[in-house]
Amino acid sequence: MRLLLDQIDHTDNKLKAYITVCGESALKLAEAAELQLKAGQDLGPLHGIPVSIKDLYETAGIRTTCGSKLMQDYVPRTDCTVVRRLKLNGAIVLGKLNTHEFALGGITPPTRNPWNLRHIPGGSSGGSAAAIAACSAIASTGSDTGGSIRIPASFCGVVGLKPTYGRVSRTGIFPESWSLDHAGPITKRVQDAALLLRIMAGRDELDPTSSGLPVPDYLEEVKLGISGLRVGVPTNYFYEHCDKEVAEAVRSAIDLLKDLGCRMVEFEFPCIPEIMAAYTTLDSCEASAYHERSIEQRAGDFQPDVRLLLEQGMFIPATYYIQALRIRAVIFTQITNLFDRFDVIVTPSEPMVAPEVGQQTVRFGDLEESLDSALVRYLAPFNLTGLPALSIPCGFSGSGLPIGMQIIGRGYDESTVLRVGYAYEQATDWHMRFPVID
Amino acid sequence: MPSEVCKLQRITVDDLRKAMRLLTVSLSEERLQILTSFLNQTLETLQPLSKLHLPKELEPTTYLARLREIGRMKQSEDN
Repeated sequence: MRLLLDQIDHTDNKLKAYITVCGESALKLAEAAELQLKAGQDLGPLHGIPVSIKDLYETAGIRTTCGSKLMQDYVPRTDCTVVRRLKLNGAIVLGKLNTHEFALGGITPPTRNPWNLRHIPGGSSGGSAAAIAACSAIASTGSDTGGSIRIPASFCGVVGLKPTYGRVSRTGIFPESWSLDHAGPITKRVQDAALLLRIMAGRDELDPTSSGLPVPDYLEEVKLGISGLRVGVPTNYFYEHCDKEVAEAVRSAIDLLKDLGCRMVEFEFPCIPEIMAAYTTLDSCEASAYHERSIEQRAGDFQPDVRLLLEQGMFIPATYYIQALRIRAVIFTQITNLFDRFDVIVTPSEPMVAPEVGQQTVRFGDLEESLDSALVRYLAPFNLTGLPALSIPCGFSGSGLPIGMQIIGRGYDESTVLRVGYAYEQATDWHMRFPVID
Repeated sequence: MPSEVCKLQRITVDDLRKAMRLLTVSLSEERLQILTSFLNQTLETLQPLSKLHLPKELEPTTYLARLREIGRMKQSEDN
């Protein structure tokens, strides 16, 4: 615990990953946990383990700001379900991590990327991924509506898992978009993500969207090997408008999976324009509905980019919202049917490495694209369909920034996704690299 | 199959001013100017929704039922 607090002291004035550090209480709880263990009382697999929490998750007695001026003094009375479960298994809350305001963006100002402080960490769970990469957290939580776990995981070179929609309760986590929001872990290693998911997942009576299906022992299942698994490799979309270095790194990773015994199945990914239209509509309208009163009363307290998104959503017609829901059903069927032919899909997580702070657009050949659009286009399809998706590091650019690979599975089949991630991680050493922060 | 078109044209500040009457929020002229340009960019992304031809039986929340069904099937396979 002291080592982590020292590392926060050493790095966080530059990184700004943490909004709140609970140093004193964490040390006291760590001492108590040690005494409990000595007395033969073991609370579970996270006994005495410090966990850092995205500041969108309610934590009893600890300020929960959502990265917003609107919430700067909010101290919840109760823990959200995920934090309650983590604590019941022995975890100690070390602190609260920065998020793009109300999770409505992929940048997370003012947090910086530990691999290069002139670059963004991604978002919205940017504090979570930056802290894991910088070793100022050993386990953290994030939330993902259009990629907010996988974007920063990719940019910071760590592991981020968006589970199946409904696998993890969202009770007590501030919503961005109810029908697209997912909660999940961000960690350094795949096994840590497997352990955290096992504890975070499961039915919660307070969240009617949560699933009552049994939660597998992911920690055991990751070790089952991947020989014979079929890997779907899309031939379109995911390598168009993608940096060459990123495409090459992911293709090398796919070759390695082949060497590890997987069979590759090429296929065409369907419905791209409809996916982005439906995702944008649902995200925009649902976020605006949730924040309607705040926009009425305190619009000036939002950051300008977030305010614009929220105001925009109010002008999208309800007919569009309903059509987005209806086409979502068609897209869901088309994408889930693909899994008759393979067990997982592998794609790049992002079309580029972490952009510089302040960058508004990205260029791919002749195409200049808004950063907001580029950040979500490989990831949002799996928020729309609710399928589990993992981002793990698969290389570094010439400029020394991490590259992420996305592994997507069938609904509720996080085990296979984690198995592939674990096997790849065991065969590579990307996760053994650490940034030098100076 | 009947066409289900809800086409949006490029919008103007005046369009937003009129639409605002249906909302609980009131935006300044300056905000409306900024928003019009931003919203027009977004509407290009949304255009595919104006061209859909979907079966009349297609109910909006079908995907959630399908996802739960997949979960149940997975559970039976695992057992």
